[in-house]
Amino acid sequence: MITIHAALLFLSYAAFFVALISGVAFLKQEQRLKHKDPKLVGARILPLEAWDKINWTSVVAGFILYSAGMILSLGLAHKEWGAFFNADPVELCALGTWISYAVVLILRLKVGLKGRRVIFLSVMSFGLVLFTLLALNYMSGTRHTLF
Amino acid sequence: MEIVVLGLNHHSAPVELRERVAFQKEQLPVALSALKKELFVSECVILSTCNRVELYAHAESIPELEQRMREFLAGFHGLNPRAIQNGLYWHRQPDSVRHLFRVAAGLDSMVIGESEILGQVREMYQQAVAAKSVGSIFNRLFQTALKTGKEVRSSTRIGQGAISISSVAVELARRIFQDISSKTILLIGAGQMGEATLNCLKGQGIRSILVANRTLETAVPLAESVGGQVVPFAQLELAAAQADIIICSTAADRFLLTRTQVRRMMGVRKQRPLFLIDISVPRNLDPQIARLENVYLYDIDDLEGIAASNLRMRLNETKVCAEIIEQELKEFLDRTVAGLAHQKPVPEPMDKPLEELIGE
Repeated sequence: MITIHAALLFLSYAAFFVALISGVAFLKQEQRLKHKDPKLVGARILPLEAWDKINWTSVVAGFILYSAGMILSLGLAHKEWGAFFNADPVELCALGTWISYAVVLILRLKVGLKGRRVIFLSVMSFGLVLFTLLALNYMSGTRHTLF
Repeated sequence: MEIVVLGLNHHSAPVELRERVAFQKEQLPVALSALKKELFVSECVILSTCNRVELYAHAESIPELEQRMREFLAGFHGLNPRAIQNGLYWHRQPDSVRHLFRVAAGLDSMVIGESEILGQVREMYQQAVAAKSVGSIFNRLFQTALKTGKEVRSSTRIGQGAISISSVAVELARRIFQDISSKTILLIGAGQMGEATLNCLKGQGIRSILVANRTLETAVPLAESVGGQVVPFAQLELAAAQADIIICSTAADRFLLTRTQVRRMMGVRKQRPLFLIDISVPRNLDPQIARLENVYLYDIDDLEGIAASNLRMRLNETKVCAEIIEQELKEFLDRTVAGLAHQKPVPEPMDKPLEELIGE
Protein backbone atom coordinates (compact mmCIF):
# COMPACT_ATOMS: atom_id res chain seq x y z
CA MET A 1 0.00 0.00 0.00
CA ILE A 2 2.66 2.46 1.03
CA THR A 3 4.68 1.62 -2.08
CA ILE A 4 1.72 2.37 -4.36
CA HIS A 5 1.14 5.59 -2.44
CA ALA A 6 4.75 6.65 -3.00
CA ALA A 7 4.79 5.46 -6.62
CA LEU A 8 1.63 7.39 -7.55
CA LEU A 9 2.94 10.57 -6.01
CA PHE A 10 6.33 10.11 -7.60
CA LEU A 11 4.69 9.71 -11.04
CA SER A 12 2.54 12.76 -10.46
CA TYR A 13 5.65 14.77 -9.58
CA ALA A 14 7.22 13.62 -12.82
CA ALA A 15 4.13 14.84 -14.72
CA PHE A 16 4.18 18.15 -12.86
CA PHE A 17 7.84 18.48 -13.75
CA VAL A 18 7.00 18.06 -17.44
CA ALA A 19 4.32 20.74 -16.95
CA LEU A 20 6.96 22.99 -15.40
CA ILE A 21 9.40 22.61 -18.28
CA SER A 22 6.79 23.01 -21.03
CA GLY A 23 5.23 25.88 -19.12
CA VAL A 24 8.51 27.75 -18.91
CA ALA A 25 9.10 27.10 -22.61
CA PHE A 26 5.62 28.45 -23.39
CA LEU A 27 6.10 31.58 -21.31
CA LYS A 28 9.47 32.31 -22.85
CA GLN A 29 8.23 31.83 -26.39
CA GLU A 30 5.04 33.78 -25.85
CA GLN A 31 7.12 36.66 -24.55
CA ARG A 32 9.34 36.53 -27.61
CA LEU A 33 6.27 36.56 -29.87
CA LYS A 34 4.81 39.53 -28.03
CA HIS A 35 8.09 41.42 -28.17
CA LYS A 36 8.56 40.55 -31.85
CA ASP A 37 11.94 38.97 -31.45
CA PRO A 38 13.37 38.64 -34.97
CA LYS A 39 15.37 35.55 -33.97
CA LEU A 40 12.13 33.67 -33.43
CA VAL A 41 11.68 33.39 -37.18
CA GLY A 42 13.70 30.45 -38.38
CA ALA A 43 14.37 29.13 -34.89
CA ARG A 44 13.87 25.38 -34.61
CA ILE A 45 11.44 25.26 -31.74
CA LEU A 46 8.02 23.78 -31.08
CA PRO A 47 5.05 26.07 -31.74
CA LEU A 48 3.27 27.76 -28.86
CA GLU A 49 0.25 25.48 -29.20
CA ALA A 50 2.42 22.39 -28.75
CA TRP A 51 3.94 23.66 -25.50
CA ASP A 52 0.44 24.53 -24.31
CA LYS A 53 -0.79 21.04 -25.12
CA ILE A 54 2.12 19.35 -23.34
CA ASN A 55 1.65 21.58 -20.33
CA TRP A 56 -2.08 20.96 -20.14
CA THR A 57 -1.85 17.20 -20.66
CA SER A 58 0.77 16.84 -17.98
CA VAL A 59 -1.13 19.01 -15.51
CA VAL A 60 -4.24 16.85 -15.99
CA ALA A 61 -2.28 13.60 -15.80
CA GLY A 62 -0.35 14.82 -12.79
CA PHE A 63 -3.51 15.94 -11.04
CA ILE A 64 -5.24 12.58 -11.54
CA LEU A 65 -2.23 10.66 -10.25
CA TYR A 66 -1.80 13.09 -7.38
CA SER A 67 -5.47 12.81 -6.38
CA ALA A 68 -5.25 9.01 -6.47
CA GLY A 69 -2.13 9.13 -4.33
CA MET A 70 -3.85 11.43 -1.85
CA ILE A 71 -6.96 9.28 -1.57
CA LEU A 72 -4.75 6.31 -0.91
CA SER A 73 -2.89 8.30 1.73
CA LEU A 74 -6.13 9.05 3.55
CA GLY A 75 -6.70 5.33 3.98
CA LEU A 76 -3.11 4.78 5.00
CA ALA A 77 -3.19 7.58 7.56
CA HIS A 78 -6.38 6.22 9.03
CA LYS A 79 -4.90 2.75 9.36
CA GLU A 80 -1.44 3.72 10.63
CA TRP A 81 -2.09 6.89 12.60
CA GLY A 82 -5.73 6.56 13.49
CA ALA A 83 -7.07 9.63 11.70
CA PHE A 84 -7.62 10.62 8.06
CA PHE A 85 -5.99 13.98 8.52
CA ASN A 86 -3.32 14.64 11.12
CA ALA A 87 -2.16 18.16 10.17
CA ASP A 88 1.25 16.64 9.56
CA PRO A 89 3.48 19.24 7.76
CA VAL A 90 3.73 17.00 4.71
CA GLU A 91 -0.03 16.57 4.61
CA LEU A 92 -0.50 20.33 4.74
CA CYS A 93 2.01 20.92 1.94
CA ALA A 94 0.44 18.24 -0.16
CA LEU A 95 -3.00 19.73 0.34
CA GLY A 96 -1.66 23.11 -0.73
CA THR A 97 -0.15 21.59 -3.87
CA TRP A 98 -3.38 19.81 -4.70
CA ILE A 99 -5.39 23.04 -4.32
CA SER A 100 -2.92 24.96 -6.44
CA TYR A 101 -3.19 22.56 -9.37
CA ALA A 102 -6.95 22.32 -8.86
CA VAL A 103 -7.12 26.10 -9.34
CA VAL A 104 -5.26 25.68 -12.64
CA LEU A 105 -7.88 23.16 -13.76
CA ILE A 106 -10.79 25.31 -12.63
CA LEU A 107 -9.43 28.43 -14.29
CA ARG A 108 -9.02 26.65 -17.56
CA LEU A 109 -12.12 24.48 -17.57
CA LYS A 110 -14.66 26.66 -15.78
CA VAL A 111 -13.44 30.22 -16.17
CA GLY A 112 -12.19 29.56 -19.69
CA LEU A 113 -8.83 31.21 -19.19
CA LYS A 114 -6.01 30.04 -21.38
CA GLY A 115 -2.45 30.98 -22.05
CA ARG A 116 0.06 32.98 -20.10
CA ARG A 117 -1.61 33.42 -16.70
CA VAL A 118 -2.85 29.87 -16.24
CA ILE A 119 0.43 28.43 -17.41
CA PHE A 120 2.28 30.76 -15.06
CA LEU A 121 0.25 29.33 -12.19
CA SER A 122 1.06 25.77 -13.26
CA VAL A 123 4.74 26.70 -13.25
CA MET A 124 4.51 28.33 -9.83
CA SER A 125 2.63 25.35 -8.42
CA PHE A 126 5.72 23.28 -8.88
CA GLY A 127 7.28 25.38 -6.15
CA LEU A 128 4.83 23.73 -3.75
CA VAL A 129 5.84 20.32 -5.05
CA LEU A 130 9.45 21.13 -4.24
CA PHE A 131 8.45 22.48 -0.86
CA THR A 132 6.58 19.27 -0.07
CA LEU A 133 9.64 17.22 -0.99
CA LEU A 134 11.79 19.39 1.28
CA ALA A 135 9.29 19.05 4.09
CA LEU A 136 9.35 15.31 3.62
CA ASN A 137 13.08 15.20 4.18
CA TYR A 138 14.03 18.00 6.48
CA MET A 139 11.06 19.28 8.38
CA SER A 140 10.82 18.16 11.95
CA GLY A 141 7.47 17.05 13.22
CA THR A 142 6.55 14.91 10.23
CA ARG A 143 6.09 11.22 10.50
CA HIS A 144 6.66 10.89 6.74
CA THR A 145 9.99 9.59 5.57
CA LEU A 146 11.35 9.40 2.07
CA PHE A 147 12.29 5.82 1.23
CA MET B 1 42.57 24.04 -71.80
CA GLU B 2 40.61 25.99 -69.30
CA ILE B 3 37.13 26.41 -67.82
CA VAL B 4 35.33 29.54 -68.98
CA VAL B 5 31.88 31.00 -68.55
CA LEU B 6 29.95 33.47 -70.64
CA GLY B 7 26.64 34.69 -69.34
CA LEU B 8 24.25 37.30 -68.13
CA ASN B 9 22.23 37.55 -64.95
CA HIS B 10 19.90 39.85 -63.06
CA HIS B 11 22.82 42.08 -62.10
CA SER B 12 24.13 42.54 -65.61
CA ALA B 13 21.06 42.51 -67.84
CA PRO B 14 17.40 43.49 -67.67
CA VAL B 15 14.71 40.83 -67.88
CA GLU B 16 13.84 41.88 -71.48
CA LEU B 17 17.27 40.77 -72.57
CA ARG B 18 17.46 37.71 -70.31
CA GLU B 19 14.23 36.26 -71.62
CA ARG B 20 15.38 36.64 -75.23
CA VAL B 21 18.46 34.49 -74.73
CA ALA B 22 16.91 31.97 -72.31
CA PHE B 23 17.00 28.32 -73.37
CA GLN B 24 13.84 26.26 -73.14
CA LYS B 25 14.27 22.82 -71.67
CA GLU B 26 13.64 21.10 -75.00
CA GLN B 27 16.18 23.34 -76.75
CA LEU B 28 19.00 22.26 -74.47
CA PRO B 29 20.11 19.01 -76.17
CA VAL B 30 20.34 20.77 -79.55
CA ALA B 31 22.09 23.79 -78.08
CA LEU B 32 24.59 21.69 -76.15
CA SER B 33 25.61 19.57 -79.12
CA ALA B 34 25.79 22.64 -81.37
CA LEU B 35 27.99 24.42 -78.83
CA LYS B 36 30.26 21.41 -78.64
CA LYS B 37 30.56 20.92 -82.40
CA GLU B 38 30.68 24.50 -83.65
CA LEU B 39 33.05 25.88 -81.07
CA PHE B 40 35.23 22.80 -80.60
CA VAL B 41 34.81 22.89 -76.85
CA SER B 42 35.47 19.57 -75.16
CA GLU B 43 32.78 19.89 -72.49
CA CYS B 44 29.89 22.27 -71.90
CA VAL B 45 26.88 22.94 -69.68
CA ILE B 46 24.16 25.53 -70.17
CA LEU B 47 22.61 27.04 -67.07
CA SER B 48 19.37 28.79 -67.97
CA THR B 49 16.97 29.99 -65.28
CA CYS B 50 14.73 33.02 -65.00
CA ASN B 51 17.52 35.06 -63.48
CA ARG B 52 20.50 33.90 -65.52
CA VAL B 53 21.72 32.35 -68.74
CA GLU B 54 25.26 31.02 -68.57
CA LEU B 55 27.36 28.93 -70.91
CA TYR B 56 30.10 26.93 -69.17
CA ALA B 57 32.75 25.44 -71.41
CA HIS B 58 36.01 23.60 -71.13
CA ALA B 59 38.02 24.59 -74.16
CA GLU B 60 41.37 25.40 -75.64
CA SER B 61 42.36 28.85 -74.40
CA ILE B 62 42.27 30.90 -77.56
CA PRO B 63 41.77 34.66 -77.78
CA GLU B 64 38.64 34.39 -79.96
CA LEU B 65 36.78 32.05 -77.61
CA GLU B 66 34.81 34.79 -75.89
CA GLN B 67 33.70 36.31 -79.18
CA ARG B 68 32.76 32.92 -80.59
CA MET B 69 30.67 32.02 -77.60
CA ARG B 70 28.94 35.38 -77.74
CA GLU B 71 28.17 34.85 -81.42
CA PHE B 72 26.86 31.40 -80.62
CA LEU B 73 24.54 32.65 -77.85
CA ALA B 74 23.19 35.47 -80.03
CA GLY B 75 23.01 33.34 -83.16
CA PHE B 76 21.13 30.52 -81.47
CA HIS B 77 18.35 32.93 -80.55
CA GLY B 78 18.50 34.81 -83.86
CA LEU B 79 19.96 37.96 -82.34
CA ASN B 80 22.72 40.30 -83.31
CA PRO B 81 25.80 39.67 -81.06
CA ARG B 82 26.09 43.39 -80.51
CA ALA B 83 22.57 43.53 -79.08
CA ILE B 84 23.54 41.36 -76.13
CA GLN B 85 27.13 42.50 -75.74
CA ASN B 86 26.53 45.00 -72.95
CA GLY B 87 24.80 42.65 -70.58
CA LEU B 88 27.36 39.87 -70.79
CA TYR B 89 30.14 38.88 -68.46
CA TRP B 90 33.05 36.61 -69.22
CA HIS B 91 35.12 34.75 -66.67
CA ARG B 92 38.19 32.65 -67.20
CA GLN B 93 39.68 30.11 -64.85
CA PRO B 94 39.77 30.37 -61.86
CA ASP B 95 37.08 33.10 -61.74
CA SER B 96 34.76 30.96 -63.83
CA VAL B 97 34.90 28.13 -61.30
CA ARG B 98 34.47 30.52 -58.40
CA HIS B 99 31.48 32.04 -60.17
CA LEU B 100 29.80 28.65 -60.55
CA PHE B 101 30.41 27.83 -56.88
CA ARG B 102 28.92 31.17 -55.86
CA VAL B 103 25.89 30.60 -58.06
CA ALA B 104 25.33 27.11 -56.65
CA ALA B 105 25.60 28.46 -53.11
CA GLY B 106 22.93 31.07 -53.80
CA LEU B 107 25.32 34.00 -53.26
CA ASP B 108 24.69 35.28 -56.76
CA SER B 109 20.92 34.98 -56.49
CA MET B 110 18.48 37.85 -56.43
CA VAL B 111 17.16 36.57 -53.09
CA ILE B 112 20.48 35.90 -51.48
CA GLY B 113 20.87 32.41 -50.04
CA GLU B 114 17.80 30.96 -51.76
CA SER B 115 17.94 27.22 -52.30
CA GLU B 116 16.11 26.83 -55.59
CA ILE B 117 19.21 27.55 -57.61
CA LEU B 118 20.98 24.47 -56.28
CA GLY B 119 18.26 22.26 -57.74
CA GLN B 120 18.41 24.19 -61.00
CA VAL B 121 22.18 23.71 -61.27
CA ARG B 122 21.69 19.99 -60.65
CA GLU B 123 18.98 19.78 -63.28
CA MET B 124 21.00 21.65 -65.90
CA TYR B 125 24.00 19.43 -65.19
CA GLN B 126 21.84 16.32 -65.59
CA GLN B 127 20.53 17.66 -68.88
CA ALA B 128 24.09 18.08 -70.07
CA VAL B 129 24.95 14.55 -68.91
CA ALA B 130 21.96 13.24 -70.88
CA ALA B 131 23.13 15.21 -73.92
CA LYS B 132 26.60 13.69 -73.47
CA SER B 133 28.24 17.11 -73.42
CA VAL B 134 30.15 16.60 -70.18
CA GLY B 135 33.26 14.58 -69.49
CA SER B 136 35.55 13.97 -66.55
CA ILE B 137 36.40 17.64 -65.90
CA PHE B 138 32.85 18.93 -65.87
CA ASN B 139 31.59 15.92 -63.94
CA ARG B 140 34.03 16.82 -61.24
CA LEU B 141 33.36 20.55 -61.59
CA PHE B 142 29.59 20.30 -61.22
CA GLN B 143 29.67 17.66 -58.53
CA THR B 144 32.04 19.87 -56.56
CA ALA B 145 29.80 22.88 -57.21
CA LEU B 146 26.74 21.01 -55.91
CA LYS B 147 28.67 19.74 -52.92
CA THR B 148 29.96 23.25 -52.19
CA GLY B 149 26.47 24.70 -52.51
CA LYS B 150 25.15 22.16 -50.05
CA GLU B 151 28.03 22.68 -47.66
CA VAL B 152 27.65 26.45 -47.69
CA ARG B 153 23.96 26.10 -46.90
CA SER B 154 24.43 23.56 -44.14
CA SER B 155 27.41 25.08 -42.37
CA THR B 156 26.37 28.73 -42.53
CA ARG B 157 23.11 30.57 -41.95
CA ILE B 158 22.96 31.99 -45.47
CA GLY B 159 19.67 30.25 -46.23
CA GLN B 160 18.07 30.82 -42.86
CA GLY B 161 15.54 33.36 -41.70
CA ALA B 162 12.66 34.54 -43.83
CA ILE B 163 13.46 37.70 -45.77
CA SER B 164 10.12 38.53 -47.37
CA ILE B 165 7.02 39.85 -45.63
CA SER B 166 4.92 36.84 -46.57
CA SER B 167 7.50 34.26 -45.56
CA VAL B 168 8.05 36.04 -42.24
CA ALA B 169 4.29 35.80 -41.67
CA VAL B 170 4.33 32.08 -42.44
CA GLU B 171 7.28 31.50 -40.11
CA LEU B 172 5.53 33.34 -37.31
CA ALA B 173 2.36 31.32 -37.84
CA ARG B 174 4.45 28.19 -37.52
CA ARG B 175 5.82 29.42 -34.19
CA ILE B 176 2.27 29.81 -32.89
CA PHE B 177 0.19 27.04 -34.40
CA GLN B 178 0.85 23.35 -34.25
CA ASP B 179 -1.17 22.29 -37.26
CA ILE B 180 -1.63 25.22 -39.61
CA SER B 181 -3.58 23.18 -42.14
CA SER B 182 -6.48 22.82 -39.70
CA LYS B 183 -6.75 26.58 -39.13
CA THR B 184 -9.11 29.13 -40.60
CA ILE B 185 -7.76 32.23 -42.24
CA LEU B 186 -9.57 35.49 -42.91
CA LEU B 187 -8.37 37.89 -45.57
CA ILE B 188 -9.71 41.42 -45.23
CA GLY B 189 -9.27 43.63 -48.28
CA ALA B 190 -7.96 42.96 -51.76
CA GLY B 191 -4.45 44.34 -51.32
CA GLN B 192 -1.81 42.59 -53.36
CA MET B 193 0.47 41.97 -50.42
CA GLY B 194 -2.39 40.45 -48.44
CA GLU B 195 -3.11 38.03 -51.24
CA ALA B 196 0.57 37.11 -51.54
CA THR B 197 0.73 36.39 -47.81
CA LEU B 198 -2.44 34.33 -48.02
CA ASN B 199 -1.01 32.27 -50.85
CA CYS B 200 2.16 31.70 -48.86
CA LEU B 201 0.09 30.42 -45.94
CA LYS B 202 -1.97 28.29 -48.30
CA GLY B 203 1.29 26.57 -49.12
CA GLN B 204 1.15 25.25 -45.54
CA GLY B 205 -2.05 23.41 -46.39
CA ILE B 206 -4.73 25.78 -45.09
CA ARG B 207 -8.09 24.85 -46.59
CA SER B 208 -10.54 27.04 -44.72
CA ILE B 209 -10.33 30.54 -46.19
CA LEU B 210 -12.69 33.47 -45.63
CA VAL B 211 -12.58 36.66 -47.68
CA ALA B 212 -14.10 40.00 -46.71
CA ASN B 213 -14.05 43.16 -48.76
CA ARG B 214 -16.00 46.39 -48.64
CA THR B 215 -17.20 45.97 -52.21
CA LEU B 216 -18.71 42.62 -53.04
CA GLU B 217 -17.69 42.91 -56.71
CA THR B 218 -14.05 42.71 -55.65
CA ALA B 219 -14.57 40.10 -52.96
CA VAL B 220 -16.20 37.50 -55.20
CA PRO B 221 -13.42 37.16 -57.82
CA LEU B 222 -10.80 37.39 -55.08
CA ALA B 223 -12.44 34.57 -53.15
CA GLU B 224 -12.59 32.53 -56.33
CA SER B 225 -8.92 33.05 -57.10
CA VAL B 226 -7.76 32.02 -53.63
CA GLY B 227 -10.36 29.29 -53.20
CA GLY B 228 -12.15 30.97 -50.31
CA GLN B 229 -15.60 31.87 -49.16
CA VAL B 230 -16.98 35.42 -49.14
CA VAL B 231 -18.19 36.79 -45.83
CA PRO B 232 -20.20 40.01 -45.57
CA PHE B 233 -18.12 43.05 -44.66
CA ALA B 234 -20.85 44.26 -42.32
CA GLN B 235 -20.40 41.17 -40.15
CA LEU B 236 -16.64 41.36 -39.96
CA GLU B 237 -16.45 40.66 -36.24
CA LEU B 238 -18.54 37.52 -36.60
CA ALA B 239 -16.29 36.20 -39.35
CA ALA B 240 -13.16 37.26 -37.52
CA ALA B 241 -14.19 35.25 -34.47
CA GLN B 242 -14.03 32.07 -36.58
CA ALA B 243 -10.54 32.80 -37.87
CA ASP B 244 -7.21 31.83 -36.34
CA ILE B 245 -5.18 33.98 -38.68
CA ILE B 246 -6.39 37.36 -39.93
CA ILE B 247 -4.61 39.18 -42.73
CA CYS B 248 -5.65 42.77 -43.18
CA SER B 249 -4.67 44.65 -46.29
CA THR B 250 -7.10 47.39 -47.20
CA ALA B 251 -7.02 51.07 -48.11
CA ALA B 252 -9.32 52.04 -45.27
CA ASP B 253 -8.24 54.98 -43.12
CA ARG B 254 -9.71 53.73 -39.87
CA PHE B 255 -9.45 50.73 -37.56
CA LEU B 256 -11.56 47.85 -38.84
CA LEU B 257 -11.20 45.90 -35.61
CA THR B 258 -10.85 47.52 -32.22
CA ARG B 259 -9.55 46.18 -28.97
CA THR B 260 -13.05 45.78 -27.53
CA GLN B 261 -14.16 43.81 -30.55
CA VAL B 262 -11.16 41.47 -30.43
CA ARG B 263 -11.61 40.96 -26.70
CA ARG B 264 -15.20 39.92 -27.38
CA MET B 265 -14.01 37.65 -30.19
CA MET B 266 -11.50 35.97 -27.91
CA GLY B 267 -14.30 35.06 -25.54
CA VAL B 268 -16.24 33.48 -28.41
CA ARG B 269 -13.19 31.53 -29.55
CA LYS B 270 -12.44 30.34 -26.00
CA GLN B 271 -9.06 32.09 -25.86
CA ARG B 272 -7.52 30.00 -28.62
CA PRO B 273 -4.48 31.89 -29.96
CA LEU B 274 -5.14 34.47 -32.67
CA PHE B 275 -2.54 35.73 -35.13
CA LEU B 276 -3.23 39.11 -36.71
CA ILE B 277 -1.24 40.45 -39.65
CA ASP B 278 -1.83 44.08 -40.51
CA ILE B 279 -0.11 45.01 -43.76
CA SER B 280 -2.19 48.07 -44.47
CA VAL B 281 -0.92 51.64 -44.28
CA PRO B 282 -2.47 53.39 -42.43
CA ARG B 283 -3.04 50.53 -40.04
CA ASN B 284 -6.45 48.89 -39.96
CA LEU B 285 -6.11 46.98 -36.72
CA ASP B 286 -5.96 48.90 -33.49
CA PRO B 287 -2.42 48.53 -32.05
CA GLN B 288 -3.98 48.24 -28.60
CA ILE B 289 -5.21 44.78 -29.65
CA ALA B 290 -1.67 43.54 -29.10
CA ARG B 291 -2.10 43.94 -25.35
CA LEU B 292 -4.77 41.25 -25.20
CA GLU B 293 -3.75 37.80 -24.08
CA ASN B 294 -3.24 35.02 -26.63
CA VAL B 295 -3.38 37.61 -29.39
CA TYR B 296 -0.32 38.23 -31.55
CA LEU B 297 -0.51 41.34 -33.69
CA TYR B 298 2.17 42.16 -36.26
CA ASP B 299 2.03 45.21 -38.49
CA ILE B 300 3.98 45.93 -41.65
CA ASP B 301 6.84 47.56 -39.76
CA ASP B 302 7.26 44.54 -37.49
CA LEU B 303 7.34 42.16 -40.44
CA GLU B 304 9.68 44.36 -42.46
CA GLY B 305 11.90 44.80 -39.43
CA ILE B 306 12.24 41.03 -39.04
CA ALA B 307 12.83 40.57 -42.77
CA ALA B 308 15.52 43.25 -42.75
CA SER B 309 17.25 41.81 -39.71
CA ASN B 310 17.31 38.38 -41.38
CA LEU B 311 18.71 39.87 -44.56
CA ARG B 312 21.47 41.56 -42.57
CA MET B 313 22.19 38.22 -40.94
CA ARG B 314 22.46 36.56 -44.37
CA LEU B 315 24.70 39.31 -45.69
CA ASN B 316 26.95 38.90 -42.66
CA GLU B 317 27.25 35.23 -43.52
CA THR B 318 28.51 35.85 -47.04
CA LYS B 319 32.05 36.29 -45.76
CA VAL B 320 32.09 32.81 -44.22
CA CYS B 321 30.49 31.45 -47.39
CA ALA B 322 33.21 33.04 -49.50
CA GLU B 323 35.86 31.36 -47.34
CA ILE B 324 34.28 27.94 -47.85
CA ILE B 325 34.10 28.60 -51.57
CA GLU B 326 37.76 29.65 -51.73
CA GLN B 327 38.72 26.48 -49.91
CA GLU B 328 36.72 24.27 -52.28
CA LEU B 329 38.01 26.23 -55.25
CA LYS B 330 41.59 25.67 -54.24
CA GLU B 331 41.03 21.95 -53.71
CA PHE B 332 39.24 21.63 -57.01
CA LEU B 333 41.91 23.44 -58.96
CA ASP B 334 44.70 21.47 -57.27
CA ARG B 335 43.02 18.18 -58.09
CA THR B 336 42.11 19.19 -61.63
CA VAL B 337 45.60 20.43 -62.34
CA ALA B 338 47.01 17.24 -60.88
CA GLY B 339 44.61 15.27 -63.07
CA LEU B 340 45.93 17.11 -66.10
CA ALA B 341 49.51 16.41 -65.15
CA HIS B 342 50.56 15.90 -68.72
CA GLN B 343 49.64 19.49 -69.52
CA LYS B 344 50.89 21.29 -66.46
CA PRO B 345 54.06 20.64 -64.50
CA VAL B 346 53.55 18.72 -61.27
CA PRO B 347 54.51 20.74 -58.19
CA GLU B 348 58.01 19.97 -57.03
CA PRO B 349 57.85 17.36 -54.26
CA MET B 350 60.62 19.10 -52.37
CA ASP B 351 58.47 22.24 -52.03
CA LYS B 352 56.55 20.47 -49.29
CA PRO B 353 57.90 19.70 -45.84
CA LEU B 354 58.99 16.11 -45.31
CA GLU B 355 56.30 15.39 -42.72
CA GLU B 356 53.57 16.24 -45.17
CA LEU B 357 55.04 13.91 -47.78
CA ILE B 358 55.15 11.06 -45.31
CA GLY B 359 51.61 11.86 -44.29
CA GLU B 360 50.47 11.46 -47.85
